[in-house]
Amino acid sequence: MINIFSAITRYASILFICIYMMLAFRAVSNVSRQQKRRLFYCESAIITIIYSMYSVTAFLKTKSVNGLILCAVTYVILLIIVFVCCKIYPKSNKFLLTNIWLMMSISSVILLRISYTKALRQFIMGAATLILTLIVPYLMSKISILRKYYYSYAAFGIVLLLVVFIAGDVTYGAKLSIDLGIISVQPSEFIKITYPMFIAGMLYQNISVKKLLITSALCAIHVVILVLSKDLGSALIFCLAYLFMIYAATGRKLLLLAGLLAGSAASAAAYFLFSHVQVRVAAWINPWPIIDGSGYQIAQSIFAIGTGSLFGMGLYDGNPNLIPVAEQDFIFSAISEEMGGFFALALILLCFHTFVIMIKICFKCNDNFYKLTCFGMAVIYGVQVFLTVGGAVKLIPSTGVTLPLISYGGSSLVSTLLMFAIIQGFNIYDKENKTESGISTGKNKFKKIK
Amino acid sequence: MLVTYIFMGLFLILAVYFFYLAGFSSRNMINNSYNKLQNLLSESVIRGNIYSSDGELLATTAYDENGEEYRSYPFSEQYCHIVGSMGQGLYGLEAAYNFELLSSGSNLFTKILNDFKNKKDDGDSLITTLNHKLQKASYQALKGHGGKNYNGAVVVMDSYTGAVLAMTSNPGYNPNTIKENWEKLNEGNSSVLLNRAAQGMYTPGSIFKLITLYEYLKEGKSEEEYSYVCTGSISVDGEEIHCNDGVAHGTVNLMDSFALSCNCSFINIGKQLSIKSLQETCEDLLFHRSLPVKIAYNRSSFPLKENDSEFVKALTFFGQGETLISPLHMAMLVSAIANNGTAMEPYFVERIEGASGNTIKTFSPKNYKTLFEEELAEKLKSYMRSVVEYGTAKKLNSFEHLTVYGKTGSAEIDSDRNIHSWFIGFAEDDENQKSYTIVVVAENVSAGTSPAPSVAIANQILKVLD
Repeated sequence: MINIFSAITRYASILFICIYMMLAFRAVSNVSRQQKRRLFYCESAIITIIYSMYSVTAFLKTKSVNGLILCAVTYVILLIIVFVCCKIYPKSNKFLLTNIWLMMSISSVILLRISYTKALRQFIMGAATLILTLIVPYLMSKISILRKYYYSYAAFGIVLLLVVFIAGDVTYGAKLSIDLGIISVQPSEFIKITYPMFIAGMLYQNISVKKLLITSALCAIHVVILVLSKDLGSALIFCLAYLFMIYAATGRKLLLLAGLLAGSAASAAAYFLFSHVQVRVAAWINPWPIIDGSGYQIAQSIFAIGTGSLFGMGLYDGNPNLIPVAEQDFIFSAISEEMGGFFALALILLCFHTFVIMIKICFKCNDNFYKLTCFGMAVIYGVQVFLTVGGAVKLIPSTGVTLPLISYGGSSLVSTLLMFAIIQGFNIYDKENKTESGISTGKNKFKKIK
Repeated sequence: MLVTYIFMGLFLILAVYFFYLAGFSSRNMINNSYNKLQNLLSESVIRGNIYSSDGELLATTAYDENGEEYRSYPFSEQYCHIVGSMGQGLYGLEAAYNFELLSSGSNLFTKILNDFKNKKDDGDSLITTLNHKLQKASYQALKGHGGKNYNGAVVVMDSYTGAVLAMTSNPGYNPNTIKENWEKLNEGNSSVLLNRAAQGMYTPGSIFKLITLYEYLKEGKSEEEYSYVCTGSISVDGEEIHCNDGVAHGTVNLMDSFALSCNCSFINIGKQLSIKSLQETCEDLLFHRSLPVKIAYNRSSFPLKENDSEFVKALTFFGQGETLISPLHMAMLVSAIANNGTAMEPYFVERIEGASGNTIKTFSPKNYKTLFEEELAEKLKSYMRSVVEYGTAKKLNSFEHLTVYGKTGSAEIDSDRNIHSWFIGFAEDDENQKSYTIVVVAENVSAGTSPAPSVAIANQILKVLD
């Protein structure tokens, strides 16, 4: 009986998430306000169905009352926050909201599957941050001089990265986090917010060669410290964000091309300079002969994805814990294994859809600073998803990057939610106040990226 | 906008690649003994059957009185090494095709329906290349028709395709009771779990002369002018080395030396060879190399070095010394000679079938590598023919339909005149355009047994094919 319910859950959730994605992409095109409303309610209903079915499956499989309570509380809190957000910010992007809701729901299910304590911790972090983020758009409307402090953003980033480089804890060969006693913080996650704001602040008004050079130099410092800390995934993300933002600001395709070529050359150099890069690349090219060593993780990931196949093994019927750090870098494989390849495929679409929404908001913004920041954040998000999923499925070497909103990890969760809140703020604030006096918005200098 | 397209492209590649990986390309990768998830599949799939190519059921999933699944092997010991067993880890084809046996090729609709009915899917079945008559004959031949029970191994292979028709190793065990008898099976050092045909490492003895001869021909040395006077023994580094049983072969040419297996003459031949080149030849002939097979095996080794003593070199030329080989490796070499020099990949499964008899996958013969130049393979063939025509395997020259080519060997293993008796060769059936490679090794028999046990065993097996 339990197995039958589990099977129904598996197939139904694949069906529903596919419907969700269809509705979501429908909403990207121009639809009337009323249709939008209907789509929003449909999406909310689908999330409710998927989440409750998986919660019940988890309960039936484990008989853990705590797990069931956690699911119920998670659902209620997320529901309340989504509707409160809709009420106080009627102009917020509802589809970004539902995407966040769905991603956090999937995350909650798979983390509960992997470890109850981790799911609980993630829930507490998520709920607290979500409540906090409710005031972010409001704060943004009050503090309009956000764009003035761009040098301090760069300073913030560089100082924090230096602290990690000097005093950070080493996890899996890379220095990523600072231990603050009760919690350990991963500063690079928060710099993912200030970094695009810094570049946008530098370039939104006018672009002089001098400004470009200063920007480039400060960005390069970020990247170099990250490389030295062996956090190559983040280094790559920051590098690409810089390149795309410079391109967006200047509109010069040649610059992008040259940058990408230089980046490739730098990657090749990194390969020859750093042994840990060679190890990762070797594990990517052919993990099978070194399955006892560095190829183990990627091999287990492939086993998980392949054995789960397109329809999945069913929640609690696989064994995602066989993949080392499944809850972080390889959460995608865990989802694919138990919930099915089709479900995971829909998750890739969901992430892409989220990226598209961010780009759409970027296009709609009139304020050049908002536009550029939003664009940078979208690029960071997109690259991060691509690196994680690509690494888990062996399309590219594994870079140790996590999947935003899905992977376990407080810093990543908090910073991603903050980022989405800021983007919601751009969306709302730009609509509300298109001509704020006293602030140059750098209008019309920024058409080329359209 | 360009950026959106770039990302759209990246995500599209990602999605397509992932879809292909999850649905298709990972099939081969997840069939790996490191994949512990495989065993979870038995929760949702009934392990499939294993059949011989002529339709005998070799392994199946059965149910005891409590409705619990267990694995049943109708032919018990006869197939214990090649089909293998499960219960205490996996062996043989059960291990090599574990994933296929636990996959279900039933159509999607049936599978979904089974999911909803909480019923297990039927696993896919293996149709092996094994021929029941040959397997039975080789098992009985080793097991001693006529009171003799030889430890050893037999491999029978289709020389032109690489399809393994029989693979036997003795002593064996009853795979049906492996769990109950596990401790007993591991007692002593009879190593019943070892598949001697693929994992056994044996001193080759005179069958190595095939390789010495090949090296001689390859180095372009003269065949016609070769002549040697054998007095029954030869002195190397002050040590006497004898021909088998001290027989003096008198004046022999190259073919006589091979057909009569004259040790002294082969030491004389070996002296003319470049050790470095011989090492390279052995590497080319897959010593120290991995073999293209899916079952567990050991690599043959040829550790001779240029600075080894003349005595060790002399021993090596006629197959004593440190050289070790596996029967399966020999079968690959011999079938390459039978197949104009090209080795085929040995394979054990010709087809995978779904529960309703639908074919999931067919395995076709694959060229592995050209091991011998065609011309030299032809020459080696004629030398191997002489062994049967007037040499040490004359007993095999009286088949009605088969023309046999071969080489015998008796590898000394101790000073008490105990030997491993070898026969390697192939039988051509011109009528049906077939060629069967056969490799036999019988362990620990006393020297001078006539006819050589391995030849007698080969004879018994080849009778089935005649």
